[in-house]
Amino acid sequence: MKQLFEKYKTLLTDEEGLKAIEAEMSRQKEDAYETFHTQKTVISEMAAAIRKTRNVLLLGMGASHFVNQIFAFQIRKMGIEAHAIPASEFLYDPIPVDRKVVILTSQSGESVETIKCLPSLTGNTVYSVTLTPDSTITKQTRSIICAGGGEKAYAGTRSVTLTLATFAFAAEQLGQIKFEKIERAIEFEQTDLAAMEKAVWTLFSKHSIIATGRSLFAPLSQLFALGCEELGTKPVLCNETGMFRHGPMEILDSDTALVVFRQEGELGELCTSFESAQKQSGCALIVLDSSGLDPLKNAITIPCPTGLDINTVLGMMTTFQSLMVAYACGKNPRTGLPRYGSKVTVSE
Amino acid sequence: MTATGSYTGKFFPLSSELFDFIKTLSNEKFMVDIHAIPAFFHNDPISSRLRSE
Repeated sequence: MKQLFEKYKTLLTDEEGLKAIEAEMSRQKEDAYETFHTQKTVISEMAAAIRKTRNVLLLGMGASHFVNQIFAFQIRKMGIEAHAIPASEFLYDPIPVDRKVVILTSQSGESVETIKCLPSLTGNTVYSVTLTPDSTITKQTRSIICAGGGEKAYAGTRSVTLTLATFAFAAEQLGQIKFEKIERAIEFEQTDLAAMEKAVWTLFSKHSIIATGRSLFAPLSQLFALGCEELGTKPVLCNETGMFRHGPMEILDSDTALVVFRQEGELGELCTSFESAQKQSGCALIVLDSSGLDPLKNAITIPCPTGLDINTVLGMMTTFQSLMVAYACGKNPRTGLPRYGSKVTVSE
Repeated sequence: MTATGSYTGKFFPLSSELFDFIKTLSNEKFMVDIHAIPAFFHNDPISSRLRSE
């Protein structure tokens, strides 16, 4: 992936933002293992609390919320009642929290809405996942502190991977995943650079981009869209696939790139319906494909580790991050240098 | 074959496979929606070749 960055950074007028992102991404593998080794006691404790209560509420903002959703969908597979809602939603339209284990996710530990939720949770067992020791969240909750310190680069890359890895380790403690499979996911490196570059140029060339996926791959597609927007400074529509088929599909045309996150099994089979949508609309189809099934016709297929769980999503991290960063280099000559926002959102 | 185009004095390598693929993205005008590439394609031999093809 490094060679992809080396090539596309020639499109930038300022490389500082990209350098910071590269620095974060280059550490994420080692930091994931380090997180497991240093935090396994707390991760195990959180998993035990989840197993005991079987009722979990996850709160976070931005990318943290989407990672929370992935974990919520993962543990629903074992019959646990799990809901991930934005901290801002909980703050102004709260739901009862009796007998729930609450997990707050914030890489900085200072996201304003997440912090503001704390007073409403005084009677609960509250865990948190953060990258930042000595943050407000760390001080006020039972905290899992991911390795390597706070993320400095704009847009979540390492923070997302480490939070996801933490939840994968929790799923392992809950008996859903074998540790060896998590290791394989962390080690996965995309080798089909030809497919990656075709996807990058397709994204460059189209006026509209739409990202979509189902189940755990829906929040994954949200992470991709969010990253493309933050870094590329252009709008990217994202709908869960079922919702997309209920109306928004009408926007597909020959100037659209549809990015599909496809998993193994029944939901991967359902993606074959995009073949006729592509044929009818003339849209470009890019598939990050973990299905293990035949590639969709007329699609650019980027092969990813086969599966449908949180571990599969973890294995796709560097692939989708590299795609979104390379895309951004073509759209924003100052990729990774925010115009209006900041790394940590501390005001509403 | 490797097609190599220059952009702001730097080299931007395109494999022949990618070069051919990029051509399929174009319609009557070859101009992808990218902040820098229009200049890139305006100014170097690849652009001329793509346009002439």
